[in-house]
Amino acid sequence: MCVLCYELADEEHWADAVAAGPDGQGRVRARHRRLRILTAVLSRYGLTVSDPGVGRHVVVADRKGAAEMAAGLPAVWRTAERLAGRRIDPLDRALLDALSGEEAAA
Amino acid sequence: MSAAPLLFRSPAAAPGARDASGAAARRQVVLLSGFLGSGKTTLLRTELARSKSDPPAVIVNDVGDTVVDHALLTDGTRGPALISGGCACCIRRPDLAPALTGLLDDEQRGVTAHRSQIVIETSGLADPGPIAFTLANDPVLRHHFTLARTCVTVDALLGLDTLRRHEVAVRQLLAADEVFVTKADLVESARVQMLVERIHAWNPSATVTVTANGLPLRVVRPTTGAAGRAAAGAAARGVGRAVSSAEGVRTHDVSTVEVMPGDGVDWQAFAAWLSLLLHAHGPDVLRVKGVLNVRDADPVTVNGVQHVVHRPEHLRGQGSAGSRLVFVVRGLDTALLTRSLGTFLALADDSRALCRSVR
Repeated sequence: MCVLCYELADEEHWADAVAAGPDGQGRVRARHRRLRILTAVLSRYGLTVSDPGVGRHVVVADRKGAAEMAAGLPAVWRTAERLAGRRIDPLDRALLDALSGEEAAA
Repeated sequence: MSAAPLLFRSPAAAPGARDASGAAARRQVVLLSGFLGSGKTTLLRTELARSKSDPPAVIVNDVGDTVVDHALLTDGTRGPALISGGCACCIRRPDLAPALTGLLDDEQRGVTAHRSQIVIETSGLADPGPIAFTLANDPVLRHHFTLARTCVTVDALLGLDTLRRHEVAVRQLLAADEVFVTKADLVESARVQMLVERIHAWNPSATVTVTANGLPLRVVRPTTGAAGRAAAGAAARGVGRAVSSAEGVRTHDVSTVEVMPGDGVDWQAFAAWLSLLLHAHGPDVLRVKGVLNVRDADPVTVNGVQHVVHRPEHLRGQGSAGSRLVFVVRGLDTALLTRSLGTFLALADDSRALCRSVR
């Protein structure tokens, strides 16, 4: 357990094992990019994602004020499904159409 | 063919001996799997005889309580560690960790010399996936061991029939990095060729070595040519996006698709996509394997067996032939999967810029 934030030490996820760049700034940028990608996907389900800057956690919240912390990508998807009350499927054509539309509009 | 070892390689030659943080090399584990009677022990005995100067540690797992392989592999000076009475993937899985930590203890007490390579010969009924999971996730083992390769033996005589009848044989084959077709001297070469083609239809990323009595006859490299041509053709037709193309092979309900995401892949977008795919369809994603040329870092190897994704390794100082991923999936639409990966990669700014530059 971390003595500063009381975070239980969980196992490192494979997604975090790739070097983000030669310096600390690379890690910050990578974290920011991950947040933006999660936001692009989860906004389709009425959810927001924010980074409290604590460990590997992000906060997933719905529009009714419910918010949960999630550490690591698998926990993010589990939490998002619970809050959205829907299955999140990367092979869902409607999701892919929406994400592609966003790309075209940008 | 040369008499170079088939299963073992010098640690310096093995890619991925160092992880992303540059930590010291971990011991390389070679998982030797294959269906009952497919020639695992014969292959291992021949290999051990060749590697007298730098012998690997050996762990043998057998379903029966009486272990015959142990007697075959013991040469009077060193014997393998044993896990008997069940498969290391299920009821004997708790025994696997002590067997490996026992090797560490022996080294530290000076009972045995440091051994950079370990071979785990699994039982013929074992699924390599859970064993890989133990290696990747055990809080002690993952710091000392890394799965270097999964080698799988397929019997030239009975292999096709076994693959048709036994799902675990298919799981073993899908997990393979290298496949050894054994007993090739017992059947005519046309049948061996058919088996090799069949193996590559299931697992196009595996190197297939045809052997007889543990000795190599010929090596068939992974099937990259056809997929490469398909990618070039798709790009020429103007449909090349972040994910340019795929060539699929379909066998029963299991499909294989090869995807070439191009260079400068955004790791965060890829990780988000793969983690969501495994979250939604984990049991149906039987295998993910390949190399990604990621942005701002050395190329990364990606290796997943069912729900277990191994810690990605950077290929330091090695050129890569380009990003290439092979997916073996059950009951999923491979065209949709390819589109989905392309869509997620395009979410990252730089991948989007890459798409624009392609257009």
